[in-house]
Amino acid sequence: MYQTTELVSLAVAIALTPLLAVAVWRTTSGAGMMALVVGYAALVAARVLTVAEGRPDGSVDEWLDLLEHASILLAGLALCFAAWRFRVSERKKGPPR
Amino acid sequence: MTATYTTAVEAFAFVVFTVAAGLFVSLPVRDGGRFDAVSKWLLVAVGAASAFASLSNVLEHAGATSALDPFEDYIEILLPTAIVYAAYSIAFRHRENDLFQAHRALERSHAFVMDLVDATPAGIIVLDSAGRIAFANESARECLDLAECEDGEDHPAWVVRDERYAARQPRPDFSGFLEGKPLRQVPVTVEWPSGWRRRLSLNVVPMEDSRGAGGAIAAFVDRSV
Repeated sequence: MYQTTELVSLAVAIALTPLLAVAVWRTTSGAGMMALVVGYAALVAARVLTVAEGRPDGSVDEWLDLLEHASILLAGLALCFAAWRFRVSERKKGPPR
Repeated sequence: MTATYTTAVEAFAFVVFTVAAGLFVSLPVRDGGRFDAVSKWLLVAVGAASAFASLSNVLEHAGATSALDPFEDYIEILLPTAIVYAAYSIAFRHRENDLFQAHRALERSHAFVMDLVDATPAGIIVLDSAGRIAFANESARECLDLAECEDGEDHPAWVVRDERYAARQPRPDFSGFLEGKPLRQVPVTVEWPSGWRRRLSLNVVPMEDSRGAGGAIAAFVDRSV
């Protein structure tokens, strides 16, 4: 069975999604911000899978568990890409104003 | 079987999150940039905390220890908040940079117009709603003897006569030209107490200030010579 913290985690992630959408919309996006959104979506998907993989007898569906961790890996890759894009774009901007 | 894959995936995720945290650490924080210290270190925290969660999963799936599991749960709750906060911080910084750029463009534009106004040989004055001189360019200051006066101070004791109306009394200001409509090439005489005169040809364009009161912009050339 899933734990309370996992449900809270999922609820928080879903509740904050509109705020993230507004923030990205106000930033005129860019590849880095888009990657951040993808990472966030992957984290939310991982939370959904965490809740979904729990069985009533307390065991865990192994394939859903694997999918959850793959989702976390995807979030990591997206975050890594975002960091790289941010770094490149910040260095391209040149000297301070 | 899947447990091995899961451990491998989490181990890879640990490496990836660690690299992401390292890249976020190397983000430059500078004026005019997209990141302030808050967004940068929040993103570093996101990367580091995720790496920690992945490490916890690796240790748990490898059967080493599950002591880190409770911390991982709390991290999973805090992660979305940290990401959204960082995104908001970036968005506000973006907006702040836009405003700063707009402000600088406005300043440059203002400086250009002021240079233009001061360079022109015609006198240019801005009149407030009472017809008093609120601003005068270099030529106007010279022509009307305002060189020693600061903006808003009283001018020398000259009077202004509108030559279109011979019967009208001369006034100590330009209020007679605030007719609420544009005027072109109005013959004007400015008379000093000593009897000295300047004949001007005056153009007037009415304007509204921020309170809706009517002032005007007047430009003139000296026809005395």
